[in-house]
Amino acid sequence: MLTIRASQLALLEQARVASFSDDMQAHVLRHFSNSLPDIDGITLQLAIDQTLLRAREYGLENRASRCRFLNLALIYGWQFDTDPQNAWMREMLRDTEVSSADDRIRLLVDECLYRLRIEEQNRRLRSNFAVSA
Amino acid sequence: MSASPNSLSALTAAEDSAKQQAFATDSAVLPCQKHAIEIVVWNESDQPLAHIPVELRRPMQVSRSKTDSSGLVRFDGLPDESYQYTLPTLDADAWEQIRETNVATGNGPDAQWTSAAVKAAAPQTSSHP
Repeated sequence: MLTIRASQLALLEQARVASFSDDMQAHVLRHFSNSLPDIDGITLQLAIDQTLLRAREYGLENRASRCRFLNLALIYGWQFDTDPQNAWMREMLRDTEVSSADDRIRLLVDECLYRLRIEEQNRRLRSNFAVSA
Repeated sequence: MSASPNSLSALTAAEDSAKQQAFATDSAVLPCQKHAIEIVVWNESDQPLAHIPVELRRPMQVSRSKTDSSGLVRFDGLPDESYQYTLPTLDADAWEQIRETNVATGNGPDAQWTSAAVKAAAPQTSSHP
């Protein structure tokens, strides 16, 4: 029988955490390079790691959920969840009517996409109106 | 900080990438529950109803979630048991299940799921937050 000790599992977990952090830096550079402030790689990695750590404070454990939290930080600002302008986001992240933290962030992203689509439509309407006026 | 004009396309693409990470955790031990239940809630005009609370019950356990903008709510990683669901903010006669389907797609973490479609009278509180 093969026995895997807790210490061995912890080592495997450490390696997975490091590899996830690297994956997320590549993810950020792939999707958000146009909107990133002018910061060096080390500072960016630090900001990503701190954001992923803060995601855990909302109970976000799985990678998709922490990746979603990071995506929102890149769109709405690194401290988007504590910005008073985004109080509704914090409310959704803490919504006690939704049992799973993973569901809460998924619903929040869905809501953000909904609002961005409306903004996009409004922008288009405004520009059409400006052209025809 | 407000969103820029490119935010919609950036977030859409980044969300697609996030979905590919589904179910992965830092833990070296993977969960073995493979069942999921999804429920879609429409109004009487076949429009999806967002932000509708849905409760999923089995003995000694209740899970709560809300429908998204496409009217969908999904409960993942469930053991293969019997469940009952309700829409707790609506009267029992304000909604009815119109379809239930069992789907099996192989060996992934969401290999089997049950899908239910619900028609409901739109409540006063279904607006976006």
